[in-house]
Amino acid sequence: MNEIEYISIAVLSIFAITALHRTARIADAIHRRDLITDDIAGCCESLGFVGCSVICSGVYSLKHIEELLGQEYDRYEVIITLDAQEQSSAFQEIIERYRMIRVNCSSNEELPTASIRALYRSRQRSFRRLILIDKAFTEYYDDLDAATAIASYNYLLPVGHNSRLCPKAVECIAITLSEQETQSLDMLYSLASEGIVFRRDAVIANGGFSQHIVKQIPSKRQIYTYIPLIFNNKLTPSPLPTISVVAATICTIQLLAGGRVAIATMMTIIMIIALARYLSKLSTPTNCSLRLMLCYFRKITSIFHSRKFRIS
Amino acid sequence: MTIGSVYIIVVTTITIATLLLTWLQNRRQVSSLRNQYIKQITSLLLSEQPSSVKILARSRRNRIALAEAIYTVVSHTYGNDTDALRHVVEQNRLESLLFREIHLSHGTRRARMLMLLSAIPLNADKVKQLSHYMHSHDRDIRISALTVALASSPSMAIRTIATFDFALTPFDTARIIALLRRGLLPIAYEPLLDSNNHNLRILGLAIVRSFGIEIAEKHLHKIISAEEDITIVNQTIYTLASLGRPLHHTRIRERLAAMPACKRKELCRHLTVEGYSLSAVRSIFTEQESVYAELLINSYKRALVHA
Repeated sequence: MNEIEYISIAVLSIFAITALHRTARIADAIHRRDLITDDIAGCCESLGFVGCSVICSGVYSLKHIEELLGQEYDRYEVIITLDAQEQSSAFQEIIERYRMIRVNCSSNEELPTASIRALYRSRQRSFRRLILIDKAFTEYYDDLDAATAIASYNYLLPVGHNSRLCPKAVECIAITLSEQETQSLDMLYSLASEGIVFRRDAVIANGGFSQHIVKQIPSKRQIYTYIPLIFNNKLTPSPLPTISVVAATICTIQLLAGGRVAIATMMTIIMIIALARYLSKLSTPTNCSLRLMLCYFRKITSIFHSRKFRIS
Repeated sequence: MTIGSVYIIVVTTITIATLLLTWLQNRRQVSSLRNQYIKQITSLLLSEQPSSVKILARSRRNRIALAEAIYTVVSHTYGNDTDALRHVVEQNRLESLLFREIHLSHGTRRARMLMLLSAIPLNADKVKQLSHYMHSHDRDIRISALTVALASSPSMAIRTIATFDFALTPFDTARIIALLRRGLLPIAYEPLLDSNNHNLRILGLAIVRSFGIEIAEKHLHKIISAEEDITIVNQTIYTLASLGRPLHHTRIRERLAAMPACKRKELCRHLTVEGYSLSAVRSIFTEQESVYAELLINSYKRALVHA
């Protein structure tokens, strides 16, 4: 019995230390974000000329587009790919709201999957950073490829229907990339939240976006940050099934390893929830705190499965 | 006591401490307090009789909020009345508070306190106490300490940057440029561009870009012709591009030809975004390299014929 208890406590300790370490790093990164983003407004040309194109698939809500356009960094654009035939009303709404006109668009030989029907840019100066692509929907990887073909900047941040940018996300990306000594990094990902930034040339060299693109980029050309970049806005289902599964697991542990190990497991779970809650409070003022907390759990479990690139 | 019990006690303690921190985080309403102080400082600076406006902060929390408010006001304005701000700083003993916080804290918090200190009028002798932070292994601390030193003695700026041990990153130069924008440092780009020091040259180029100093073109061409450091040469070409100057000179072409293909492609994309014409891009890149530029430039024109 004692041996089982020792092993269980050792496993739980690993979980607890991992969670504590990650919380400390994310908290420090959030504090640093608040520190470093205070000074850079209007100085974008000095940040290593880093520019970022946010490429979107499935984004059609005007509110979502407003949020994406709300980032303050200068060298930044938002490219939205939509199927004008499938979502004609949303498409028309965007065209009217942002006074978009159809512009010339030639086929791009860099990405064969990027077959674009039409391209639109805004006539209004304040929305110059918005680009709309009309493309028949096949799968979202193709949408991202089409946006990549049009992108003006070196770095791409894919965003999906349920993804929202964290405050100052683009500034943080620019600062993180400009601080690197070797400027030609292919990938930047956040350990605190969702969101992966790719270098445009790396995407083209790998034949466009696919679920395996993360594996295709060598790890030495990837860097990570603890600053939250994107949070998932998808409404989560009722927590009851999760609570039931946790309760059943604790009961099983009690039967197999005894009451003390069951209490230790329960306390570890409560501690992880408390840590996630603390982090979510730190990342205010935003409406993303709870989502970020859920993402925190997902990231902890991500060590058990292979990394595939997908957007939500 | 078994190992299980010890583990439970430790985890419970951490959980309670975390919940306490979360509760404190909820209670802290520094932002609203800071906003109040920002209003008071603004009215002080706008007032014709600054001595009639009194700003008082009693607790440590309030004094830090006041220091943050001063930082926000100073970083968003130009040519403030330093005497009025100095009076507020002395009245609330902000200098001693920030010095104490800097010595007692570490990491990001220390960097933040240094950053706040850079906005308040300081005695240059006192700043010497902080000079060892300029050698810190923490990037944020050393650059914040550098900004404090620059803000407190602008006349020594060139020497201070020249003796800085670490290479300035683009973000570091952006923070120094922010000081220039506040009017705290002189915009003397010539000695910086003529210097042999890497950091000074990088800063000189950043100044030329930020303030759009077109008369610096001759200096830039000189650097492209004579400089051996590839990083400086690349930055100089980008600086010329940000000024919108022609890039078809022989020496620039030679430098471009020596660039790796990926860097050339990045530059081609950059020139396109900066608004260079297709003929200008074609004059310095090969036809194959200019394909992307052609597509992008064409996409800025209204489609008169729909496919």
